Amino acid sequence: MLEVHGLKKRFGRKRPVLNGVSFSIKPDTLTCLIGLNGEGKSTILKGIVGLIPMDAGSIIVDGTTSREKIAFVPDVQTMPSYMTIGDALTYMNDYYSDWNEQTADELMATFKLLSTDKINELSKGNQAKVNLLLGFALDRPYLLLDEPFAGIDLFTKEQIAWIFSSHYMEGRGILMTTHEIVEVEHLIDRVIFLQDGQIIDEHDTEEMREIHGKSVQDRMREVYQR
Amino acid sequence: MKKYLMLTNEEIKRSSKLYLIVVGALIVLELLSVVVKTMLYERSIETFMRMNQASELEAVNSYGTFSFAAATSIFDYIMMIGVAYIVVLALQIWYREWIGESKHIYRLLLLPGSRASIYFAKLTTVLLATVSLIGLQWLTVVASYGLFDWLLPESHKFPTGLIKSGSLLQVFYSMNIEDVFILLMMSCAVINLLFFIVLIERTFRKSRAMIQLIAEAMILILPFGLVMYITEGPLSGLLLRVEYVTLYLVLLSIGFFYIGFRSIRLVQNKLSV
Repeated sequence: MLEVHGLKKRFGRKRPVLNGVSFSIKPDTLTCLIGLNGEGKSTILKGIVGLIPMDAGSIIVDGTTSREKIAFVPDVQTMPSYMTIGDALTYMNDYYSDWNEQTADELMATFKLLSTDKINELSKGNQAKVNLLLGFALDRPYLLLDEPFAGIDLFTKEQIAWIFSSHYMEGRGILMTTHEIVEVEHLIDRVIFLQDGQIIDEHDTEEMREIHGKSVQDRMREVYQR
Repeated sequence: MKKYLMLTNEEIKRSSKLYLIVVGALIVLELLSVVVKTMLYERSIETFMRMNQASELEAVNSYGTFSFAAATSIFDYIMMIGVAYIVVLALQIWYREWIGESKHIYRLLLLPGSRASIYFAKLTTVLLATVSLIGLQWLTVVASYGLFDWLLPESHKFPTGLIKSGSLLQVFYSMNIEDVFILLMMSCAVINLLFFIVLIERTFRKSRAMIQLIAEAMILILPFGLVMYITEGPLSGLLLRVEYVTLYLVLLSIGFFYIGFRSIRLVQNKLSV
């Protein structure tokens, strides 16, 4: 289990972005972290993987503080600008002992990506696919995805959403931030609503549908239109 | 170690294109300047002979011989461009990770193993660029001398060594191993300092970065000021010159290691996307 305890973060003298956020991610579940822009969703993910130092709080992954079991898929292109997709796969293979070449090859074929294509010259949708590939091809039990659907067309969203129902999800605990949950709503196991740096609501989606009689999308509207 | 070597290889690959263009342009510029200056001198001699109906010997006697130092007089300025390029490289090698379409800093900070490798890989790359720039410039001076020798008749030459005394080149092309070592140490210290400033700027927000920079500058300057005050004041004349030099060298070394230590700590614990 990935446990997040009391995360706090303030940038400069502004109000705190995170004010004691705690939750946990179980294996084999897809958890969606929902919040308006600037509520600190990405900050939480970056804090968990150590890309942004937190002011307070701790991250426990299966009983240890090591973050080697977490893979992170950011919402930006992270490979040097000169690299082709093939270069990026070689790069990952060189640095990561848990890089799974077979998964990478399968996803390349599924997403119809060419290893000779330069990543920076790809469309936003294909860059998002490359990012997902680089995350999913790491054999890690926890995967954090930052806005995987941001700024891409409906067809590409559906292609990407396919991965969440595929065997690549098996056994993995996934935490995803997104505003666009329509395409994946039926796959989400748990939702966490974030506001003013705190968790204001947290539910299993089934339980939420039973208690509130609403879909995640409708519940989201209700929470943020208060 | 493997991570450090791979990152260094990656940094060299990413920097080599621009490096080769800049250094190549500098070398071509230097060789061209020698050719142009030598030919201009030769044309002046010919013009003198034609205008004054003078013999070659009379023209050379009247106009003066031409030295290699005169042929390479703009090398100092070209070398300054090389030094400026190294400074730009030391800044660019960090900033390119954040700025541009690709945010490679995410990937770098997430790589398995110690983050100190990132710092050392970048430091090694800039140091290698510095050393090879000096080496290539040294070869260019030798090649320029060959060119000068080939273009100019013996009787037109003013006999001097390769490097004019007092020239900037003298600092860069010393054949004394101690001077080379000191030059490399100084280069390393300057690059280290530039890295430290960049890392503070990237780690802290605007006003906090300024405060941090001032505080770090105070920490670095205060011991020098204190030692200077004591040795020039109450203990004036107590130490031998060699002891003064040793004292300042020790202080410089401590400052150098402090900056390195702080930079690595920033990369490991504070640096963010």
